[in-house]
Amino acid sequence: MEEKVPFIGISRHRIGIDGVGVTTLAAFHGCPLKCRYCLNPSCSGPTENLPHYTPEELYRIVGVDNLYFLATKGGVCFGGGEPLLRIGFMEAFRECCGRSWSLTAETSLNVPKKSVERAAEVVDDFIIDCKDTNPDIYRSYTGLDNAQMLDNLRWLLEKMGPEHIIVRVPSISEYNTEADTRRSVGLLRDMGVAHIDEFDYIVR
Amino acid sequence: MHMNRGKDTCRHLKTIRRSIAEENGIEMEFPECTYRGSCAGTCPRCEMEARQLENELARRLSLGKLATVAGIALTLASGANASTIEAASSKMTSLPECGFPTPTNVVGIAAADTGYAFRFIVKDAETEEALPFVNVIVMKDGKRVTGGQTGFDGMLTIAGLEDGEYSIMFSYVGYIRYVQEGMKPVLLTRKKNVKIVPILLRYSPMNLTEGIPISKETDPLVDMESNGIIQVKEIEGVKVKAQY
Repeated sequence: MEEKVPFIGISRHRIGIDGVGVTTLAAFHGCPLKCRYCLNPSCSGPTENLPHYTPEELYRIVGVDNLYFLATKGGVCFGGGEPLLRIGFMEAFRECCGRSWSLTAETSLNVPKKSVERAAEVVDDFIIDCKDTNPDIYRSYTGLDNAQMLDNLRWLLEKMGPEHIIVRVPSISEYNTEADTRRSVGLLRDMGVAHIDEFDYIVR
Repeated sequence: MHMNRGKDTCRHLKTIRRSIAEENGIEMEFPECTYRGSCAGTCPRCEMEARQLENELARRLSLGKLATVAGIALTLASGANASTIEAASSKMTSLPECGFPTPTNVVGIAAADTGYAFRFIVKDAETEEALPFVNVIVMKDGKRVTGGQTGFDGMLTIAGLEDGEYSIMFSYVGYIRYVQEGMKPVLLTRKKNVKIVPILLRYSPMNLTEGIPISKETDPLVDMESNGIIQVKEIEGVKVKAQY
């Protein structure tokens, strides 16, 4: 794959944050969601001043930490933005790095099913920010419906197994309540999600 | 970045390096860092230790010895240098090798004595310490001609070029990428030494992505204070902190 794609950032040495071991976060530009409290708004901004890399170029850049990846069973976490919008890039990157590096995707899963199916072939672990399982809350916060996300999550659980999936459930100020997040957690447990990471957006 | 968190990362990484060295019977010194200032988790010295370790592993492999990391046997990719060691047992055999660009040479000594040549020494702009393993790409008319990496002494000679004007890009993780346009190589003769061109790279621990305008408040991805644990964003006058 020769196409260069824009990245909003690369962050090295994220120990135990984005998966097992030492990882490097590579964050793509581009996201289908319009979250009110977007943590990386540059993923929706202009791309002219962003670095653009081919999979091979990114492989060379992050390869500086190859020893750390191998020693800790770490690797690269693709985030963003929405990494599954760049599934072709991730496939080509996997061809570069082989299976010796662990690849993780931090995703909303609100992408076409086909992208998730392809991602399941090259990504080892998924970290999914589900926002809220309530469609009204989800739509209010992100601007999109969450049916596709939930459908993709069900498929992914079946395909990958719950041990490869972490679902993050945020408490979002002004958007959901403690009761809402409890309902989300309950629904996710019923779906078979084993690893749920509850956290807060803390408004100051 | 929070000083202690950076120091913690530094200690973790040093422990990993020490463990790899011990696993392979490599005698290397890993002196404790005495720097008291803000730490990004790595620094040129830490990077050099990692590169030295890679070099030593590669040297062992080139001598036919076994080298392992976390129990996994390593191998050298084709056209390998110290940075192309990879896990042997887990590589997808059906997939093509990518590897790192084959360097003109690894130790910064002239690889050829014909044609036109450049010779660089790359240093940290602030400390003026020589930077080893800086990636150097030589381009002409927008196309990559060749490339290499600086040696331990920060030097690199690229020979065997044609006459003309070249653009040369210097990149090193943690430093701002630098491109020098319109450089002309020198014709090598037996009597003429190649002038060493000094290149200074600026360390940018808050900007590992080369050229992205970083604001601590607006780009939590590289907010080193957060280290991915706490992310901060200013939105419509409301500061939001997401804690993972």
